[in-house]
Formats: sequence, C-alpha cells, structure tokens
Amino acid sequence: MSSAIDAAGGGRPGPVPPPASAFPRAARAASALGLALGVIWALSPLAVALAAAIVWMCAASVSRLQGRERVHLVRILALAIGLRFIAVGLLLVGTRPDREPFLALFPDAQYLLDRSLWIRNLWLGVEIGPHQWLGIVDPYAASSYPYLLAALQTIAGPSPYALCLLSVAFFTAGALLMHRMVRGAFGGPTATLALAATMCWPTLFAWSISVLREAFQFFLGALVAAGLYYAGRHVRRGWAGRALASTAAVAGALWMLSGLREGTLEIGLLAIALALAFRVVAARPSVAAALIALSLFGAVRFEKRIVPVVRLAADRHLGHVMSAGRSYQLLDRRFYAAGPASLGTMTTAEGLGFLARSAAAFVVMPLPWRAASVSEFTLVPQQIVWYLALAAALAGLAAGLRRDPWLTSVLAAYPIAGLLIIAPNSGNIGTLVRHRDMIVPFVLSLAAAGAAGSLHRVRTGPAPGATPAVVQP
Amino acid sequence: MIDGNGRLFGLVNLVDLGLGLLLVFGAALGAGTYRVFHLPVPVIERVEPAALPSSAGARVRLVGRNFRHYLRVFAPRTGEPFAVTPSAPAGPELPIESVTQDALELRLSSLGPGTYDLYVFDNARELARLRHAITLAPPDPPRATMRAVVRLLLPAQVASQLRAGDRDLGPDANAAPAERAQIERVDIRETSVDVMDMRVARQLPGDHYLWMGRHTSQVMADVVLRVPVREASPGRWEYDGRPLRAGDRFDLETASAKAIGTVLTREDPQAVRR
Repeated sequence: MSSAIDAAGGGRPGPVPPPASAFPRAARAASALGLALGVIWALSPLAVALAAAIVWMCAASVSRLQGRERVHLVRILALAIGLRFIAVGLLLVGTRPDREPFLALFPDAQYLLDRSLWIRNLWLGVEIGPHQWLGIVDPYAASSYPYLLAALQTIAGPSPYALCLLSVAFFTAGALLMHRMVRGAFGGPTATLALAATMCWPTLFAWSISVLREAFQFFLGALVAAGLYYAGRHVRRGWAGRALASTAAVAGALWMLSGLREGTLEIGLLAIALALAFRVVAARPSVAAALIALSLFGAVRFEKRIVPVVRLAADRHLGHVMSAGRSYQLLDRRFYAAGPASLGTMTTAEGLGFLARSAAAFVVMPLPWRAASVSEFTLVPQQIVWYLALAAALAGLAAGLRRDPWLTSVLAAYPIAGLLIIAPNSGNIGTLVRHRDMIVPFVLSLAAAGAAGSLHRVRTGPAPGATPAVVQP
Repeated sequence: MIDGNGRLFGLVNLVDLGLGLLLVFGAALGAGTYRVFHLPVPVIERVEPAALPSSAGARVRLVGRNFRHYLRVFAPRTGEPFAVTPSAPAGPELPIESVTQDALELRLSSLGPGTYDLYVFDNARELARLRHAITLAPPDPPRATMRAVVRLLLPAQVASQLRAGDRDLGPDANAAPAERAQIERVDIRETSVDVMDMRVARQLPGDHYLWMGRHTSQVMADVVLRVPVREASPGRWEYDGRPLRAGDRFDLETASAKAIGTVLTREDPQAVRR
C-alpha cells in the first residue's frame, strides 16, 4: 500500500539511494598497484624495498611541516625523486641484453658493479676467473663499497638497477639530513632553497642515480656534519645521552669513510677540527690571530714532515695530468718536462705556489671560456651558478654567524677541509668536479642563507625563519 | 546466469572465480616476465675445428647457443695453470672476431703449437670450461733437397770409411732416412798441410801444459751430399736445426765414420724446391 502511494508520487518520499561510493574505484586502483608492485617485487625485491625507504624518508620529513613550506617541499621531492626514478627506469629499458649485462652511466659504475658481483659470487662459491679474482684485489679504486653492494646482492640477487636506487636513497637521506639541520637554525625558506638546489644540481643528480661511491660518501659527510652539529648543541643544553648518540654517529660515519675512499677520513677529521676552530674564533675573534700564528709556527716547525706530503700530492697531480682526459696544470713547467723524479728538487716556494694554485683551481675550474668538448660545454651553466653560489655563500657566512655560529662553522668547515685535501691531489677536470661535488651541498646551504638574507633585505620583511614553526628534534 | 548467492551458473562464487583468474593471470605474467628477463646461460656444443696447424691467421668457432657480445674467452695451455698477473691482466685471453647467438669466432694468432683448454666467462662468472679444446700443430715449413759440398780434413784411414750411399745418422736415432743427408760422392785428395796434433792438458788447478803429438797424415775429402732442408724463415734453410750456408760447420756421422767439416758450396734452393 505505501509503495503504491509512493509510486503515485504522493505522500512520503521514496527511499534515498545510497551515496555513490569511491570504494570500487579505490579497490581497482589498489589492486592494480598491488599487482604492479608484486611483479616488480618478483623481478627486484631490493628495488621495491629501496623505493619504499625513499618514500618513507620523504614522507617523514614532510609530515612535520605545515602550510606552504610543506607544499613546496612535497613538490620539490616529488619532482627530484620522480626524475631519478624515471632516469633509472630509462637505464633499464635502454639495456640491450645481448650487448651488455646492464647499462651504466659511467665506466666506473660498471666496474664497481662488476666488482661487487665477483665478490658476491666468491662468497656464494660460484666459479669466477683469475682475471676476476685479480679485479677483487686490485688496489685501483679499492674500497669497502663493493662489499656493501655484494652483501645486498647476496641477499637479493644481482640487482644492477636497484643499486642505482640505493644511490638515490643515500643521496636523499643526506639531503634531508642537511635540510633538517639547516631548517632548525636558519628557518624553513633557507632550508627549502638549499634542498632544492642540492636535489637539482646537475652533476649531483648524475652521481645520485649511478652506482658510484659519491652518493654514499655524501650521506656519510652529511652524517658527520649533522652529528657534529647536534653533538655540540646537545652538549650546550646538557643532554649527555643525545650528545653521546650524536658523537657515536660521527664516529661510525668516520669509520665507514675510512674504508670508502682515500682522503675522505682526512676530510672528515679536518672538518671537525676546523669547525671547532671556527666556532672558537666566532666567539672570540681575538683568538684568530693566535690560531694563525700557531698554524704558521707548526708549518715551519714541521716543514720536513709537510714537504713529503706536498710532493706526494704533486706526484698524484702529475699522474692525473699524464692520464687520459682534460687536465690542468698547477706546478712549475719544469716538473711536467722532467717528470715525477724531479719532484724531489721542489723548493719551498714552488711548493707554496703549487698549493696556492691548487686552491684557486679547486674553486674556478673548469673555466667556462675554455670549454673544449661537449661535456665541458654542458658544465658551463652549472659552473656559472657555482660562481654565484660561492658569492652568495660568503654573504651566507656572515648572516649565518649571526644566526647560529655553530652550524655556520660546521657548514663552512667541510668545504674548506675538502679544498685542503682534494685540491692538491687533483689534476683532471672530471675527477675534480666529481670530488668537489661532495662539498657542494654545504656551500649551497650557506648560499641559500645568503640568498634568503638578501631577499629579506629586498623585501624588508621579517627575518627569514625568525619565528618558524620549528619542531625541535 | 548468476544466482542469488553470487554463484556463476550456481557453481562457483564470483569472488572465488575472480581470485582464481587473478592467480592464473599472475602466474602467466610471472612466467612471461621470467621468460623475457631471464637470460639463458650460454651453452658450448663444440669447437670447429678442434685441431689445426698453428699460423698467424688461425681461427676457430665455438658453436652453441645463447652467446652474447660481452662474453670473454681464455685459452690457457693444457696442463698449465690458468693465471693472470697485474702486468698482464688479460692473461691468455683470445680476441673475439665475431659473435652471433649460435657461434663465437676466435682468433688464435697469439698461440703457439700445443693443446689448449677453453674458459668462457660473462661479466660476473665462469660459464663453461672445455679441456683439450684446441690442438695447434707445429707449422709445416717449406722443404727442399739441395746438394752441398762439405770439405773434411781427416786421417786417410777415416776418409776411406766414407762411401757413397752412406747416410748421416744425426742425433735423432728415430729420424726417417728421407730426413737425413746422404753421401753422393767422396773425392779424396792428398794434402800438403802438415797437421800437428796438439792438446792443452791440465792436471792440477792452475797447472797447464801443452802436449804436442806427432805429425799425422791427413787427407782432404770433399763430400758431395744430398741434404734435405727446411726453410725456417724466408731465405734461411736449415738441416738438423742448423743453417746450411757456405762456411757453416757440418757434422757428418755415418755408421762407419765421423768427421767435422765446412760447407764449401750448396745449390740454390729455389732451383730444387719441392
């Protein structure tokens, strides 16, 4: 009866249809995603695990932010990480299985992957040849990194492309670590700008998608810097436990750096010493003169120990110059004509000239107006931005010393330590760019502080990040 | 078609059917993906040819399946350790001339006569190992027979023992007669050379003395020989591993006599090449 009345359109309204549910569409999307993940997992479980780790790191970093800062960070990370995933995917798709076992962007990456596979096969009892045995113990490019790659591939199987994602993961972790450190002291806009510059720096992009040591080295360097910074902060606040944990992180990172590449441990240790010295000088400028005098005294007193080190660096420089690739010269001409044997006759003045030229070359090479190959021409825009970043970093140094002297000391110490160690031992442009890029993020952080400060002065608004909604670690 | 309990034709639940189809699809997808991405291991079936003479242009083909361009092949000598050194990291690696999915062509110019094993590697591990895979025979140089005149200075009693038809025995007792020089003619002449037999003797360290014997009667014998020779290198003809040229020493040893002489003349080998 009531249904007849309802059908006639009179009286009570008809039953309300249930609201359109999004469940079927979500179920379909989830099923498709699950299927795709399952296929990828079957092909490369390590790739899925690393991709999940990268997404988790980004999500954890973003979750503490709010408002426009959060939106900007999400967009930057989505773009930077997404492009990296696409690049690795293109490597996979571009592989010709009959021509190459896998596709690598750089010959060094291919050699590193091969070396890790030889180690893996050795551990698993798979027969390898004597030439592969020799490759394992070859002192050229000897490092602990292939053993890490071999361990992962022992668990997950040969994974040349997943290990590219490992580089992405390490690089992202290092960049986010620096972002957190810079944001806490210099504010959100500075940290976001620094992160964007680091994630989008072209050569850093290339290293971060290749199976090279650079991404891991950057992560460990960021860990040393962050551990040092937080250890100092925790000590100042009386948090002994946290200070101890930070110090342990620094020690662990230094230990891993010691086996990663020659000179990286020295850079880390020197950076710590310089950071402490800079902090002392920042607090008491009068100490600077005493420190400089002490350094000069030490140089004179221990000249006999310093000279062989300088000659060894010059010998390495000569080796770079005489090898393939574009090189630049730092020594007096007679050494290039006479060869390494003539380095024993190097005078103090010649040594000082070599060191001064190496420091200058570390900053200015490759000169944009001397580009002579396609690869050098592609570096020109980045090199110009590098010069601008250096200028902005000087401004950032001044601004940072007012905001947070300790962080500024840490950020300044690492590039200077890198210059002192890397510059005299270089001679090849490609190698210089690759090694210098390990300290570029620190310079970019200072440059971001300088740029943000300049922008603030232009806008005459409140100090950047003066009262940020910072969630203290 | 679908009853009130959601069963297709009343037999199977739709959800169960969907899960079953998903499993079948997943299995098919997995099998297809495995088939596409899994690289089969190269298989070597045979070496063609397994035996050949050693020469600058010697090549062999490895015949099999699933070969790829980045394979590397090494050929250590059988019985010797397969090793590489920092100064020679490539070791006994063979250059690969061409690659197809079914065959690898290898150049053997760096290998000398002997038997070799073959090892095949990809970028990460050993794929195959063949013992006694290749045998390279010593090169067969051009041969000829030439006449040579050898002058001997020897006692008459010894010279009388040299007869036409006698063969030079040489150090290898098992050598075929065709490989040994044969005396065609012996011309003996008296000499005017007075030969004194002298020897330097030594009894105690640092104590030397010269023993001078009596004069002996020597004759000069010009022995015409048919000598089988081999061209060890262009223009260099050898007998018993020693060059055969005017002025070269010639050791003649027959069943009845032995003497040392000098080659006087020899025929032009071009005229008598086999």
